[in-house]
Amino acid sequence: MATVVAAGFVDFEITWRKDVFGGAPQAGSAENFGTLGINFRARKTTDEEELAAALAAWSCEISNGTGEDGERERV
Amino acid sequence: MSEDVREQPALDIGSLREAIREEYAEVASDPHKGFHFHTGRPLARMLEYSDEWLEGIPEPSIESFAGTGNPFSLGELRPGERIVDLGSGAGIDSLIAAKKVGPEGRVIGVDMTPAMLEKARLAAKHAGLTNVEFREGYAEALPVDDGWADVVISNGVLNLVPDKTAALLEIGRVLGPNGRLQIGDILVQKAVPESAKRKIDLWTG
Repeated sequence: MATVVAAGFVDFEITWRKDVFGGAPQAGSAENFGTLGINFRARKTTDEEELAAALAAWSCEISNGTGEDGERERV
Repeated sequence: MSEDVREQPALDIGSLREAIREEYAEVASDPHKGFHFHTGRPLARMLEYSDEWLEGIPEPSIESFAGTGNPFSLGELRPGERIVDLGSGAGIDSLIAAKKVGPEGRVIGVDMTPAMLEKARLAAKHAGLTNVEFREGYAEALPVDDGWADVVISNGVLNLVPDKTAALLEIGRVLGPNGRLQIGDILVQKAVPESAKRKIDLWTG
């Protein structure tokens, strides 16, 4: 999420997650890393003002320790 | 004290791209071979693609489908909108998008694998869709004008991009104000060790 916000997007939301690798014809590394398929959306800010506000809010979340959801982005 | 202490690059980007290109060239040429991911129509069903979306999409485009999510579930693509499909593969999502935006809309699919581009272009021709085109390029350097797109979609591709920050900045560049990002991708719930990130076979398998 941090990467998405830092790139200038807001309203980031993961709407769906599912094991999409289980039962695939060949074994892979997905299971070892608890890999799920996800859908996510976000919106590009309207202007510089909205971007600055989003970055400021995000900085506050990070400094308050509320910006991590315990999940990691893929390698 | 002039010892050279430069670090080795974490990953050889050229080799990684070549490995990914080889893997997906195989998905294009031999889609039923069996991979470490699901493919084709069964995968589309698993990802909740509706039969209506797939109507009129040529089978070669469907059989090489290798997404991990469903960008169309994240918001409607409206008639007349301009869409960029990042990592368009054999073209299934670009063609669905082209149907959704209609003749007044436009879709640009971008992919780095020539075999996939060839398959996608042929599929668009067979589907009779003239509002879609496929361009060769990388996610970190999209061959699309600034602010051109209303929506960027992608499916199972961002996780394969070496520089995700560069790709997201590039997506931001091609989107207009308020542009939407609708992505299917993957989420890793366990920590990936730094050493593992340098193993190309883990990126592709």
